[in-house]
Amino acid sequence: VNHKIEDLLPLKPNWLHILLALSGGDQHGYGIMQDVLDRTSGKVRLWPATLYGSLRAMMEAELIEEPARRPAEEDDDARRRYYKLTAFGKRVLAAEVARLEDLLASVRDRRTRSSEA
Amino acid sequence: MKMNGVIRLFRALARAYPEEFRATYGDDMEAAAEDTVRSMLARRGWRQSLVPLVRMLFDMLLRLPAEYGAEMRQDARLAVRLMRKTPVVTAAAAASLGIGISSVTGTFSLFDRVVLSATPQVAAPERLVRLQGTASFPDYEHYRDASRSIEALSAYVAPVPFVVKHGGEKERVWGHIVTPDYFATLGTPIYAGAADLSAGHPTAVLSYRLWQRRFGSSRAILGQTVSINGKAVEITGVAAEGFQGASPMMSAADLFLPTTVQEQVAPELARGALTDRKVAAFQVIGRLAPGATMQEAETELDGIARRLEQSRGDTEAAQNMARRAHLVPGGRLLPVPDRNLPMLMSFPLLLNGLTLWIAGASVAHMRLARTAARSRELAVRLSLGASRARLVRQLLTETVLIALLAGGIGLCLAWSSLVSFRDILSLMPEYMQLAVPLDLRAVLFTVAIAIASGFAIGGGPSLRNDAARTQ
Repeated sequence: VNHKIEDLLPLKPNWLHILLALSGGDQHGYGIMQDVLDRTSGKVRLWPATLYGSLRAMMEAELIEEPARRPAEEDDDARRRYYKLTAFGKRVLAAEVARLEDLLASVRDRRTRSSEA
Repeated sequence: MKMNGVIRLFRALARAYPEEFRATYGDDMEAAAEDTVRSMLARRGWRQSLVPLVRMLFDMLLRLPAEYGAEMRQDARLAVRLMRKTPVVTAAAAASLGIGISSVTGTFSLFDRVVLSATPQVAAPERLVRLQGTASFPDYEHYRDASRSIEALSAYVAPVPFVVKHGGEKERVWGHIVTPDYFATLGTPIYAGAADLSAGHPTAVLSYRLWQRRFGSSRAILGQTVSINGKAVEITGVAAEGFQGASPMMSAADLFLPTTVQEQVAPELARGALTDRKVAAFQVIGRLAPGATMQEAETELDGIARRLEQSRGDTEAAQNMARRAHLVPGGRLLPVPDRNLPMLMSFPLLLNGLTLWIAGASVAHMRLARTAARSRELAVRLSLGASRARLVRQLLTETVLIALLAGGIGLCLAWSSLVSFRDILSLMPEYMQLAVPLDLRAVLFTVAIAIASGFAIGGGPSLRNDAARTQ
């Protein structure tokens, strides 16, 4: 299946959160949920069905995959599946971040100009 | 206790998810739900957790159709890919099924329009009744004068050819010779002029389309005389647009002359047509009195006919116990009695249904052959963990897609055949112009047929394949 980065942008907020969570290292689903919760100070909670539905769709879009190797033994929760970013997932995340930065820059630019005027 | 109940509820919901989704994510999702419930209750207690728990419940419920939808999209994508790989088989299947569907839809629309439609431009068509067969003029007059359950009764001769000469051009036009109350009985509006059919001299009413075509829609023609069958006849009016007489399917009329014109104008009135009881030249149509039913009117006319025979001293006829008068609905395009409608409607549908069945059977055979050829692919998918139900769904999806394609083809064919039906009719001016719309019910009917035949055709091979696997 051929995926293009542009087709996926702007990224769904849930997907962005999941990609961000995985950019810090391989995680299982519950770990992703906790990571997002912590990072957003409890504001964004990925409920289980939404989380795993998104993971399923992101696997199909080849943004994430299951790692070939399990994590180091002390971190390994054998019951759970782990997920990692694919190279394509990393590119999509970078592209989305760049898009958001451009957006923010233009908002700041507008603000500075209106305060100068 | 309560907590276990909540967890059980989430587990039950998780089990409702599609099998393949559950195989990969089910355990994790259940565990995540369980962990969430536990940690939330431990940290916040019941009161604070209620709203988030309800939200989680809704999340589980709302994602459920989304997951099934995703699976169906995946099936559809795979099906489209397979159909593209075998375009000839796909096209043949869709075309043969489409032709079957088009014949059912077209027939349904046509019969619906022709059999069930009301005569155009008559008032309250459901109150009109028609005497089956023909009657003599004296009998008609007798019925008209004696009947209480029929408030207005008219008679006409149809079809009658007239030679109309106007502006040096001769043309044969079909018309009716009518009793002067004809338009009043039918409740037909007059577009221009008046339906003055009881003047002392010969008069005529034109149909709208004849007026338009032959007289250029000119009002100057009203009150003018035109040569009809070589005699001068005054044109007094133009009937409402679309009115082609009381029996437009059997004998569409463009010219209406009264029975008071002499037989020099209308030879049909010669040889005692207006006076001899033995000459049954007239069709009789009437309007039921308020509150009267067709059965009551029929019984009454029958009694009138019997009394008439007795008064004439016709003892031979008096022996005959059969009904003298039969009434049929008078406001329909075809004078079909209600009891014959189911037969009339179902027979062609049945015939076309058989065509569809044959088309379906041939498609089923093609699919069966393909399914057999694909047994390897299906076996591979089974061994990769696909459930049998999922494979059956996959095969059904392919068939339903073909059926929908066929439904589209069928609709186009049915529509174009109805258009050509109208075009053929318009080449024959003695017929009523009848546009048959492809009505919404027919469209829904087709889609239903398409999907049902998809299931019927897909089901067979799928089940067979299923059976083959379990052996």
